[in-house]
Amino acid sequence: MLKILLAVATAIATLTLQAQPQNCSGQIIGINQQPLAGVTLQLLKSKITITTRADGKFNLPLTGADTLWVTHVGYNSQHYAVQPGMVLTISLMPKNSLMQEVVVNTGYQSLPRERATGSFVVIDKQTINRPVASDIISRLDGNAGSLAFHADKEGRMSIQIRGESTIFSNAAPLIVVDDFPYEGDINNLNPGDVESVTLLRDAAAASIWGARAGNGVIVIKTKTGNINKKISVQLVANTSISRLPNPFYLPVMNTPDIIAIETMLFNKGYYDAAINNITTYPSITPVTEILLAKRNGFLTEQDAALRLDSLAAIDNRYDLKRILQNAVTARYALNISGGGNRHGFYFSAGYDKSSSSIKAINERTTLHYKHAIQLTKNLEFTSSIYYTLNKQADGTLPGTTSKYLYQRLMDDAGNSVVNLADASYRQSFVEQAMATGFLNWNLNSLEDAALTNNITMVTDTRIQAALKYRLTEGFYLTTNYQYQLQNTDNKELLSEQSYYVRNLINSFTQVNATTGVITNRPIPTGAILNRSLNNTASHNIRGQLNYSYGKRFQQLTVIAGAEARQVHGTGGRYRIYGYNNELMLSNNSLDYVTSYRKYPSGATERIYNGISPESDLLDRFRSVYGNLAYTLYNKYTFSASARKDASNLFGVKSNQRAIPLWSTGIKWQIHNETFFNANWINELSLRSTFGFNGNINKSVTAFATFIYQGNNILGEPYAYIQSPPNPELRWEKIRMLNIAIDFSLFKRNFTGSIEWYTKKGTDIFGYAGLDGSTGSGRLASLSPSFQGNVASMKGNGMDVQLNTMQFNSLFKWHTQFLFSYTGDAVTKYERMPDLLNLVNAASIQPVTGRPVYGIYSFAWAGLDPQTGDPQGWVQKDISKDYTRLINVQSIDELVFHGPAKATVTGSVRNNLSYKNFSFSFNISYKSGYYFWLNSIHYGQLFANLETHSDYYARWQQPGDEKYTNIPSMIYPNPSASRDGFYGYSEINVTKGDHIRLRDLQLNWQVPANFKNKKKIYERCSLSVIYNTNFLIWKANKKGVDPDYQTVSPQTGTFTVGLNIEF
Amino acid sequence: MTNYYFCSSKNKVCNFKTAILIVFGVFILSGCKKNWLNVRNNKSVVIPSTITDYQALLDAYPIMHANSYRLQDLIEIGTDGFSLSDVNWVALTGFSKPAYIFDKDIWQGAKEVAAWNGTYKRIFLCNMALDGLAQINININDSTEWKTTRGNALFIRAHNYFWLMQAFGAPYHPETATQKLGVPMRLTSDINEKSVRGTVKQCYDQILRDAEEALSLLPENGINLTRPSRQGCLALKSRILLMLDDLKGAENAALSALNINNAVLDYNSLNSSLTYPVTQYNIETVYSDFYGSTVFATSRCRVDSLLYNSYNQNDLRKSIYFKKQTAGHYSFNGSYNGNSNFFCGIARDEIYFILAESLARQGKTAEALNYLNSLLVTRWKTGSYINFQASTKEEAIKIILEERRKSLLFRGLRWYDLRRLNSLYNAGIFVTHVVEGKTYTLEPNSTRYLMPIPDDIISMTGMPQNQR
Repeated sequence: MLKILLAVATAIATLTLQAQPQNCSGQIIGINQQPLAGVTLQLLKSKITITTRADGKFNLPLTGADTLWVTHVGYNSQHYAVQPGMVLTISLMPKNSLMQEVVVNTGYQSLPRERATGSFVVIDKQTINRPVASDIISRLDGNAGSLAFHADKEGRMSIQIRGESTIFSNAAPLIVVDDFPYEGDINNLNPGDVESVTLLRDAAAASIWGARAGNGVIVIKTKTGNINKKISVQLVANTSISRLPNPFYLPVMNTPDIIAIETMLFNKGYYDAAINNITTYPSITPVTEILLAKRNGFLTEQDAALRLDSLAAIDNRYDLKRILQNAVTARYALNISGGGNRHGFYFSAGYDKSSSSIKAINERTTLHYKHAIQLTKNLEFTSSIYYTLNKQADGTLPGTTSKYLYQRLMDDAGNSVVNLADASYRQSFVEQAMATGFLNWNLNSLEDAALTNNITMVTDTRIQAALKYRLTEGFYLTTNYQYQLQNTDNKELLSEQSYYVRNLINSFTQVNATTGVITNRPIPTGAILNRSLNNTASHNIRGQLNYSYGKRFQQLTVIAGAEARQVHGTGGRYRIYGYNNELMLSNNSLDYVTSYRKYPSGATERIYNGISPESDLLDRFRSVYGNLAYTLYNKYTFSASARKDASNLFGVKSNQRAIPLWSTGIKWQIHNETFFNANWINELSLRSTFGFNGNINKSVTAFATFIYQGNNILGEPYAYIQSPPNPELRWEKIRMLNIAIDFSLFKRNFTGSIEWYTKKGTDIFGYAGLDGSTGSGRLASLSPSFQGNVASMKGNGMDVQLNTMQFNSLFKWHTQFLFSYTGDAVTKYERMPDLLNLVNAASIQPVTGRPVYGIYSFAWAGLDPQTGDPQGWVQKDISKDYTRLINVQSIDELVFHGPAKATVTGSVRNNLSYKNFSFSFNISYKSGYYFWLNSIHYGQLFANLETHSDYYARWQQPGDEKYTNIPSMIYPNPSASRDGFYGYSEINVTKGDHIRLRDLQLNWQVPANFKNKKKIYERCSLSVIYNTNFLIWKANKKGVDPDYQTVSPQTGTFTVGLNIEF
Repeated sequence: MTNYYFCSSKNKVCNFKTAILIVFGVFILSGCKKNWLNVRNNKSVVIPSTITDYQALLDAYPIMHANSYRLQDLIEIGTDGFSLSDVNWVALTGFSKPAYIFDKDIWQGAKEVAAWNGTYKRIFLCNMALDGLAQINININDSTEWKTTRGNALFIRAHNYFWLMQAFGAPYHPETATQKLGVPMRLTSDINEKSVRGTVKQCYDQILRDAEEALSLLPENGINLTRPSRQGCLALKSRILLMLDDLKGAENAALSALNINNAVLDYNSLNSSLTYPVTQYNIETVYSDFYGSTVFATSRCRVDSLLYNSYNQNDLRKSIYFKKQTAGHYSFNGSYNGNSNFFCGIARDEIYFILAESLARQGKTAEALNYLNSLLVTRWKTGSYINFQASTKEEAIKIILEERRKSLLFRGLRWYDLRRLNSLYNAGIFVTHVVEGKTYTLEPNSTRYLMPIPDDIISMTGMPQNQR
């Protein structure tokens, strides 16, 4: 990273105090501090031209302030403000070198960073290659400022740039790969093929993407071959091994206490209904069976106690610990690139294979070939093909155990054990049924995991062709075309032996009501195959005119183009019964029409045919766009961009309107000013942009939709409108103002940028309250939920990136700090929120003046000192009326804590190196948000034995209320709302702030030439990496990891890697 | 790689060709067909597109002929000829209770008022059909189906706007029609269009235009009586023209309507012992529509004894329309809907009355009474009817209006009559309702002849409210 930042350097100026009046002298140096001879120096005002001497030195006669123009063949020219008496050391950067300037890529053009007004974050190859994850997006975690990763309750990550920009629409950034939006799973891309990633954060950066830029854009550029580049070969191999997941991670109750609860419930007669049920014969747990046998006199008090004690000693999580495997991932990549004088190519092949702790297999093969050829002097043709085959197979080991901790998975010898606790039916019934000819009806949790074979194959093919034609000096015409086809084929093969299949066949088995003899099996024996096939095919075509002009004081870049895009997704699903995987035979002569009596319940049901209707989605876009950037004196840059999208997702009137999404920006490079002479500041720039981005919502249609209802009383078919037509349906509009400062201080040892932004979203999708005269208001049973561009919101934030170089010699120490703050609020939303859903977050309930995602809770009034009942507030009175407490009358009765998503995110990465060794570690943090702590729910405990270790800290006797907020356990549960009120009361909300160690890395650059022998390779590095989710600090006192409350986090992973370049 | 070029750079023609090729590629984009974007993005979403689809919307019986929360129920509560007991009034809910005592606030904070929203929903479905039909690219002269569906939509829209005007639009008076406000006329299905109230004149002009165009499109008779017909258009037109004091126009429209079919029921053929002696879809019905009412239910609605007693013993309307209830009062059972719902469509008896009244007001007394007598003779016991005679125009009008009132009961038309007779002819009719010993009076030309527009509509659209 530092190298690149250094590469930004185009000159180093030093002001010395021993000034020589009327003269300006100095030295020009190139790469590796080598003095450069013959460099042309031109004073623009006094029109004096000289060249440097052999030692690179020069001496210029000066009469006053002037501008110095420095040019040299093969080097980037540079201009400088000079004054009499200055002594300058100017370092020139060679063109076409690895050390060239940082380029930002928007997907439509590449711009040198100094001339970009917008908010871009460029993540280079080195940073991308530092993490070991198999997908590109994970590699950006903790490496890209303002790109936040939020975990949902299941631990799934979603990404966001600069916080919320929408309420109900897609909130994910647009991902662009090789100039076109990527349709499909971005995990298909091999990170090793990525040359650079650019984040487009503000309006000026992203607005070229128009109606899809509202959430920011991630532009990924893959590697390419270069003309006149010698052949190079790179080989990358690494292997990761992870620690075993911890089966004891989730806070549950211990086996003896589970048995105690069951015993209590049994004694109170809770299971009597199930025990006496001879219609559906629900399963009875082993504990209940023992208690029942005791009650019925089949077991003595003593025997029963002995049996229960032996069950109490069991904890099935140890079984899980025995079977879980270390997750292993191996990654290999080979790439070859090079080029002759008229062409260049890049070829890569990658293979990744991983096996998870439950033996879920993930296998990915990628092939990539890119070729560029100069057809004529003025015409260049580029073509590429990118192919991925991604195979994912679900795990064949059980990942969880029965919540009845005494129900073992396997015996001590490792043999599968029949699961009595979680079965569908009672064991006595199962045995009797099997004796009369039913298929084996036992559940074996251990074996069953391997009997379902769920494989997803994704093939992704991307083909590109591009022509670049030079019209005249500065003018280029380009046309690009891309076709992408992604096929997803999911095959779920449920073996004949699987519990699901046996249970289904048995339950549909027809029995003679009087004799009990099996008469018919409507579902044939054999496996069941569920298959779903989905295709997404997209065509993109683009024509673009590029113009660039660059002379001395001014540089101008203009692009203008038009593009069309179509994405067509189709899919469907079917099921085959009686499937024989070996012979590919099937039995599909099933009767899906007859309603069969099911066994034993007697309920009637049709056989599920497993066919889902074909889905067919077609998105079309047509756009025109343009962009210009003009720089004067290398000091002042002005940029403007506009784009107009039309789509079948918008209403007719919106498409006809000619209003584009646009942006403008300015930049002032203060360090290039003549008056600027602070020698400790190498670079100081101010930037500001303003403009609009859009966002679309594919779930809302501009067309009227309706549904036939059958015949009316006069026999005519009639129909209802589901959603009214909306010819005004349009994109959401996000206005953004960005103000930024870029700086580089102390000989570029301290560089960074500080950006501040505000945004305002209008025409945001939401559920509308429409004027009843429109005819779409609610009427009796007809209440079309109309979604339209009705809401508004705002946001603001700050992004800070700092790079410091504490030491820079043999020992190097470099630190990168990333800090992002983002806040949002709904500013207009007319529909009243559903207050219960606002609390339990079952659906998004926008509230004016509050963040889109907020944490709201019921006010808490402590535990009743006499009973341990939770208490809340109704107006100013303490209340235990739980139905009233959870049905709050107004939003003011709720406690608002704050945002539910982190508002502050960032990371600190330290790189330490000594000679060929380097060591780095990355620490990330999140702050400014709240989350719900899980706790005990007595209703769930009694009904399903869903346990939580808060049980142990519950109120048990008067006085406990001083130490605990966990309510007393009462059976029968007085009210389901009692648990609901407690669970969503303010005491279960806590701050989510935390600091996490992400990884540790050790890297050794193996010397290329041992003992002066001939070089066998260009570069070789060996690295050892440890990835972790270790929580260094958390704000909550319960010891809960805010990102991983209901699932255990990815445990530590060791990786050993090798990277050789020939 | 050699120095081989696929095309020599010196070859200017080749260069030119390539340039053309690229430029062509660019222009493919703009050359895309105009309707390239006009495809739905999700195929499982069904979008109405055929004539059959639009007719199916218009045939949505549960919406088009819903019996609850209709405007006729709202306005007819404010008329004379019936009363409620205190107990029944107190037990009322919703708009009925304040409407009965002509209260200022009818909606009492209620949102999403179904009487308003439901009527506009019917209008919306008509607009959907009209907009959709306009997109169907066929030779309209060849398609009866297209014409019928468009005619249906226009008529239903006109019919619903007519009733909206009775409830929320100012009563017509030639001097104020261009200033006083009517109702918002929504003529497209675009939900983004703002709802703005037009003037009384603008509204009736539009309703008449719709009726006129429907007349040119519709068949003489609909396939059933819930479908509009040409006769229905003419009847609606004559009803409006009478109210607009265009007597000649009303006469012509009514006459044309009766020329299509002048059949009326012979009340002698009805069985008065039935709970509802008149059947639904009877031969006198031109367009069938109905509303349900809590207030006019037989158990609550007490028909005014003066009104009841005004019928001659030989007048069959007396025994067919009214039934003595166990509670002691007479109820109205003569709905042309043949059940407990009340008729609010168009029946041929009304056309006779319109024709008679418009003729009488033009001084064609004999002709007017001729039409009146030809209708009334079917309402009396066979042989007992004596033709009405009148020596003056005023006398004839008085007779016609009295008989009109005695025939067109609980159809929403009494409110229409009260508004027009007070407004145009200074009839000076007072309506009084007594509740708990207190007398409430609706004075002639009172501002309370305009119902307030529901509050949520006012706050969302900013349209002016009716000042009561």
